[in-house]
Amino acid sequence: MRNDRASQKHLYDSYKVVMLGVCYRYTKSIQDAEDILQEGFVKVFTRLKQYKQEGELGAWMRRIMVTTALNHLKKNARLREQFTNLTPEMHPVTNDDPEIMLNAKELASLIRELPTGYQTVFNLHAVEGYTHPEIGEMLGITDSTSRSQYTRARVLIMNRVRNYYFDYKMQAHAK
Amino acid sequence: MQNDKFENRVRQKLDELKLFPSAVVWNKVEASLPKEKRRRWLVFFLLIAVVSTTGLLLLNNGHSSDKQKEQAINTPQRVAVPSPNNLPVQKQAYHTNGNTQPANQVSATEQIQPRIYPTAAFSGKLNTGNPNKADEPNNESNITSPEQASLVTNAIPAIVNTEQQESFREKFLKQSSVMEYLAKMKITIQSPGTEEMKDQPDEKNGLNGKNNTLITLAEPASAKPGISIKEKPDPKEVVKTTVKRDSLNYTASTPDKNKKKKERWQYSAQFGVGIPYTKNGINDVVFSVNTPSLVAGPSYYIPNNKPSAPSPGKVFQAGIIVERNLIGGLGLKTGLNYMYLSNHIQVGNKIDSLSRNGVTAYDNDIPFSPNSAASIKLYNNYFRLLQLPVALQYNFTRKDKFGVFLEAGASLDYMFNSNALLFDGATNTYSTSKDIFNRMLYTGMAGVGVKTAQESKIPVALGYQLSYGLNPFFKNADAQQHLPINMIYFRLYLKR
Repeated sequence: MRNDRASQKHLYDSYKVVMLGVCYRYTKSIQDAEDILQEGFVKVFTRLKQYKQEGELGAWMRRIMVTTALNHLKKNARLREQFTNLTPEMHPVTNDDPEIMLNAKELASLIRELPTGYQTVFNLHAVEGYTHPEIGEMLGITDSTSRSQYTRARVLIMNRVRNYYFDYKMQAHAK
Repeated sequence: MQNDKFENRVRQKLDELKLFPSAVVWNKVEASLPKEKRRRWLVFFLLIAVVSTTGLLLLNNGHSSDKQKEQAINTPQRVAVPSPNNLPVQKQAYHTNGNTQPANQVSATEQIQPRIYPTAAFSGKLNTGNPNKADEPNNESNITSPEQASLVTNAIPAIVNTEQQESFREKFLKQSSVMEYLAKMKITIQSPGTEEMKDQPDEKNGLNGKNNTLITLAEPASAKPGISIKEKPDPKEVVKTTVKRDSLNYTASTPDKNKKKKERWQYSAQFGVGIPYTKNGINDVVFSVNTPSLVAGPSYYIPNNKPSAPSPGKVFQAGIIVERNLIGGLGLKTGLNYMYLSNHIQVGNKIDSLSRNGVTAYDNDIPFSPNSAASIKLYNNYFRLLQLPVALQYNFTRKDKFGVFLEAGASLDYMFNSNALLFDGATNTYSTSKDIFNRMLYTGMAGVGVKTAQESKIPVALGYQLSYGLNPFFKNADAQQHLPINMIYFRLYLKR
């Protein structure tokens, strides 16, 4: 498949939607997401021999996309800036589990509105399932920084989801 | 546990996220990958075309070599040519008056001066059973050309004196001009010993309209030597007769009336023009959706931007067609065509940033800037195809001056080039993309036409064809397109 363009196109068509969703969560614009998707697929095709067929191909590709997205962020120096200029703001910790009334697109947009550091850590831990030590290694930060970043990001998202839920209820009541 | 529940919900929600990348992304991916031998389909297609064409040509050459051995002529039904066994002895000359002279006194070609009285020139004056009367020259002979008369009068002795002039006789029989002349004059050559035709001239009607002549070569010495000429009165018996060379013998055969006529391939150059009709529109394609902010609410999935409606362009077709009759009026047609078809759309300004990456791209500000008409351009989407059509053809009236025919079949097409723009609803742009197209297309077609008779000096055909693209241009299932094409074509037959 390495140089079989038809097969490559088939693989691209099969995974482009899912992978663009992955890239989309780590960026602020669809153009950046497409740039990452393009770079990620080039890596997939050139490194296909490295795929051991032990795990799912989609998961392997997803890891490549995430790594590419992180490299993209590091290259643009956004990530380092976000982690070094963190303000020690306190967020109320809530144990509520709000109903997520948003659809996928709205939730993704909500995550993208977070500061890049929060956004990245939240995606890596909550969505991709990486542990904090793994995230620390990937981003070059400590475990505790990753953990605190995630906690804050989670509270922010839950608050926004709750607000959206409240607005939704109000609108339904008004009708 | 409760925390995990939230993460699970987030994960499930985000798994539902479906975003379609623009067509440009794949172009960039492909540009970054090592080059592939992308021409293999084209090579495969051309290979099929070359093999088919070569096969047809070889088949036709086979017919041509057969033709060299077979002189197909229109002569009366019964034709017999002398074989060496019953031909006159070498150097024995025969006069048409029945007298024999020793062969060593005079050469055959000098002595023998057979009279040829073809066609209706006899007008009943010739007593075919009387050599003396037959010896009388007829001043009204239809042999108007001195060359023709000389040709025949010199050729007949060559047939008679076969042993001495074997090579000449061979050449003689292979000269289609001679045979055509004989056929034109409706002269039958009958060898000695052949049963004479019983049909006699119709005294009442004369020989008008029954322009057949029988030349019987004389018997060797013992028999009545000479060449007698008789008329064969039944013109209905004129059928195609083939003279074949078999070793030293020439045998003549009259084809069985029930035997099927051997058909040949007919070549023609075809040119067509027409109008394509795009049902769904080549550019009416949305590969991605808008990504509005949350404020926009749940209507985000409805694309705000619409592409311009395409208008029909034109179709041009040129190619080589080969056709042959199979049975009755039913025939087979195939060939190789080049087809160009196009449509037009309105686009906005060119996007230089994308154009630098080798992608032709335009924005689409038409729906939102009605006053910016100056920036609107008409863009010509074209598609270039190679077609391998195979169709059945039915000819209603084959022998008329103008014959009507119907055609129906299918075509295997390969699209080798296109500049068509695709609309991206997310970015509100048009851009080119090489890989969203299906290269192989399958087309059904049907048509009707008229063509001139085979005997015409310039045989041509004029027809109308409706073809319908069964396979969409686009690989994307959401971008299917039907492609009916109305076309008028002209065929100039190169060989029939």
